[in-house]
Amino acid sequence: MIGDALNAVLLTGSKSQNGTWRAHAGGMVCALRRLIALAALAAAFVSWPAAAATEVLVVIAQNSPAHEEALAALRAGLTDISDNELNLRVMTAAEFSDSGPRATDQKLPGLVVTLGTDAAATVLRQKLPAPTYCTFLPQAAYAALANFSNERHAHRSALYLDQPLTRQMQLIRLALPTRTRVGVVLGPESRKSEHNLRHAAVSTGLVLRVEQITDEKQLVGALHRVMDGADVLLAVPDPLVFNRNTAQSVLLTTYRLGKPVVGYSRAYVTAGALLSVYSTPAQIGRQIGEELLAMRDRPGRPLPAPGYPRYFSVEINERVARSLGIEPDQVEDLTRRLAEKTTGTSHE
Amino acid sequence: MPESSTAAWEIHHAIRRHMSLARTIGLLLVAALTSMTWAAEPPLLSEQEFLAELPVVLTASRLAQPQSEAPAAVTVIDRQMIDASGARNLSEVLRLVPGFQVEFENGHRHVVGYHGLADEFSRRLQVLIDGRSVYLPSFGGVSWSDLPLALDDIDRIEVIRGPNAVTYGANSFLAIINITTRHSAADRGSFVRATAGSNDIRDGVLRVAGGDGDVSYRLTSGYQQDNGYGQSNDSRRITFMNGRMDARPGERDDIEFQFGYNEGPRGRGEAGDLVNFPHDQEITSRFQQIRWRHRLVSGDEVAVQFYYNHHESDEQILTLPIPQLGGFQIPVNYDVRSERYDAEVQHTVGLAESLRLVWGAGARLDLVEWPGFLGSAEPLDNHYYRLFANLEWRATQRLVLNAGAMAENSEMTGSDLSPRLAVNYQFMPGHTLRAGVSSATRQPVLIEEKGNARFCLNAACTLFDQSFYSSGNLVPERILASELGYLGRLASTLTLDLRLFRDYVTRLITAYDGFYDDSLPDNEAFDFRNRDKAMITGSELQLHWQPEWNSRVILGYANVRIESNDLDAAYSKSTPRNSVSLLGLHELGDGLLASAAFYYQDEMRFVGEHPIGALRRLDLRLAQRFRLSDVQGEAAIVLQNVLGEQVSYNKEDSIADRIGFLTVNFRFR
Repeated sequence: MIGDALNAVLLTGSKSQNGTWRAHAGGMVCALRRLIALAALAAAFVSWPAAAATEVLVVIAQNSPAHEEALAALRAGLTDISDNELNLRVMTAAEFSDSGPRATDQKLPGLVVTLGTDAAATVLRQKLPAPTYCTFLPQAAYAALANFSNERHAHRSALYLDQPLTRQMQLIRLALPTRTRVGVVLGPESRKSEHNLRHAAVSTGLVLRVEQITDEKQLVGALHRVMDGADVLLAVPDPLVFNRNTAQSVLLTTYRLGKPVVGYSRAYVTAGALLSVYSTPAQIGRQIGEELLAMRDRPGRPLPAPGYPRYFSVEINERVARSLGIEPDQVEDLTRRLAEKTTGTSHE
Repeated sequence: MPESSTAAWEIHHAIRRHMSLARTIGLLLVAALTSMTWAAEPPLLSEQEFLAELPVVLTASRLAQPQSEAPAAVTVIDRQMIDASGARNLSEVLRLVPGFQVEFENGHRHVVGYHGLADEFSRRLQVLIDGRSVYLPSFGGVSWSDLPLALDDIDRIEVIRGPNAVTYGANSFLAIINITTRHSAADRGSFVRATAGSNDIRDGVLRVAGGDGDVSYRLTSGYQQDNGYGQSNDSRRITFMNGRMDARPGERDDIEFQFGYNEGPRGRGEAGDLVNFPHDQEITSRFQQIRWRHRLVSGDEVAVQFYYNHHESDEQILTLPIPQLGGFQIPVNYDVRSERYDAEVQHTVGLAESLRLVWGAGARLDLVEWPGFLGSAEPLDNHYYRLFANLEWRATQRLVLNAGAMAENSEMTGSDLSPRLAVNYQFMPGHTLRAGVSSATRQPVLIEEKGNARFCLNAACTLFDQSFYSSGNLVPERILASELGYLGRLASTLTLDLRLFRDYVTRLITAYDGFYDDSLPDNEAFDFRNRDKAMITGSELQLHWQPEWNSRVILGYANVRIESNDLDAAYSKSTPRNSVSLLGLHELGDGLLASAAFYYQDEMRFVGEHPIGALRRLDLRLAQRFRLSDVQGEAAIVLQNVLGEQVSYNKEDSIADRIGFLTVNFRFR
């Protein structure tokens, strides 16, 4: 928890991980971030109604295998709780739009848990006065949703799907100790995280090289330029830069330059990235279940602060590693050491 | 006063009114723009970005062999090493490779030797720039000063120590130097370098690069001049230009086009020599190259390449008056022009998860016009064809087998086959043993097969002297190389590459004085015959240590011994017994970089040349990076041959030159 809360604070940009205030303040942006940070901290103290047989409404974006997997892990974590204490109801985002609870309803669920970006968007649009826990969505999506609904809505929090930047940087440090220059190509979406990327790189002892693009056509050139001064490419999610169509350009260009890619999903490793750190749907589901249990046991039952996944997996493409002449440690070893480095997290 | 004050007040008000109006309009505009931006806001990042499957891009057939699985020993010289070495000429960088010697005949003629056997033309090394062979079909070997290439254009150099005909084609005999230039998309904006130093060194490079999306280009032009070595007439004034364009017409295709041009006078001759008196030769060298790579849906890849090389040296002189001939001046024609057309297609196929085949075919036409030395006013040509295949089998996770062969057919020498077999076994993670046997040929060049150099007293060619007269019927030289290698990661910061080798070279083509009948004035001329054999044995070591991100140490060592049935120990002494190279570099912080390169080699003698004594060489470099707003730059001071022991092998009394120069570059985005 402490780790998550710290990460949340770190991400919102007011305090660095080792607790020292940063001298640099980015004016308005920074002030805004502080506000968000305050909102996030406030959200951590919102209470969950203490009535018995609380109804928890789980809204999933769609009935995909990944969502089912997360849901199954969530349920598995709640087997010890009796039905008259917690009543779990599941519906899809589409069902929620048609027949879900409305802000004007007399009786509202004690807690709404959303799985996926669409589910979060659908639920938050209804502005229910019920506490809402948005999970299984990218941090950027949650931040955007939080910005869209302007009013100060403290009854909500999030469990992101993506990994904290420091965890990704630590992975590079551990797996590729001699590759200290990290290149990133940022698009219109991921540009917002440049400041946090720089900060995470510095705190991990890495050097960050950045190229920005505004059009997919600029990608190959940007990759060549950024990798000219970098030893490894860190893929930062952005629909313009990293998608199904650009995967080929990204992976082939960097490979020909003899430089590895660190991805953010298992699919990236299968496609040809050297390694990825990511959380499986089951790992997210497990954490949601644990958070629900913790809320039950906490006096006042506050929502946890927005945070990153506690559980994660590391995947290595052995063939690509071999071909690039890189010999990273065994996955298990790497994952364990990474978990030790980023406290408050676990890889089980 | 009050009037004017009121007027001023009104003006002030008017301005205020206008300003507030402007502000309102501005705010409205901002609001409008903001709402437009909101409307154009991209869809929210979905969890699908993290969950969606992706096509496999790096399929088994696309993955290159890592060093630990390659069937040969490889030395990589990267950009940082090139800079740190303090080299001003491409050839100088090769000193960093274990077993290599880089010597000077003079300021513009460099000889790069590996495992001996070389004379002033080192004919047994293959040199490729982006897959284009720059081996000269006239003299054989490479004319390093004539390559239209700036050191700044190079991305990396890979040197394969040992023969590798299967992958690199004909004449990949003792070693292969594989130079890769920077992709044109790696640079944007312009780059300028200016260099000045002792020996009248004045160099300049200007590069512009641009393009966006699917097409990018780079254009480099440069000038290089110096006064060569010591007091010799060996200055050079080189003007060059090269261009590269990379295009991606589709997701599956890459097209690369390159051209280059190099020209200028090179000083030749010695004071006091009546025939070879001080004069200039005019060099023109140019090329065009196109490469197309196509990725098939299956993940396999097809590559097609075509290039044209042209090299010309204009040097027609009239000797000084020769007293023995009553002051007669003999016309000498050293003009030589060589051309090479080369086409190649290569197909990489993933036959199974653990089995990969690379196969292809090539055709080549060499044309050499060299009236003074080939005895023909018409160009002589040679057609050459090759077929190659390599099968890579990953028998287990730890055991990789490479088996391949190249079949070649030359109009001049007929057909030959060069097979290869190598096994790599990873006995522990990070530790690999390699055993390999491979064979390769060296095709004779035209001067060896058809040399006929005569100096005439008149148009009807009354012979004054015949210096070359080839008896012909040469067959290719053959090497049978066997090696044992070890490649290990001793620590995360330390890698070691060890190699024991045994190269058996037969049918060595040797030039020696042949005796002829009375039709020749002095009854003798140089002839080329497949006469000699050489057994080259020894060991090589390469150590790469990177204790910190900002420090690197690279050590190379070679011990080479040649046994031969040669005359006058010509081949036996053509390599130093021991040689060492040591490069250290360190970033001191704040953009300050220091590096030093030290080399040592035992005495040696290129075939038919003056001996070179044991020598040490030290090169030092100190560089400061800087940034002036948007402009990045670097200023460096380089001191070469600090110990003053490296001399030209051309003369017995060569004087060592210590060289110092200052070089500054700027990068504009």
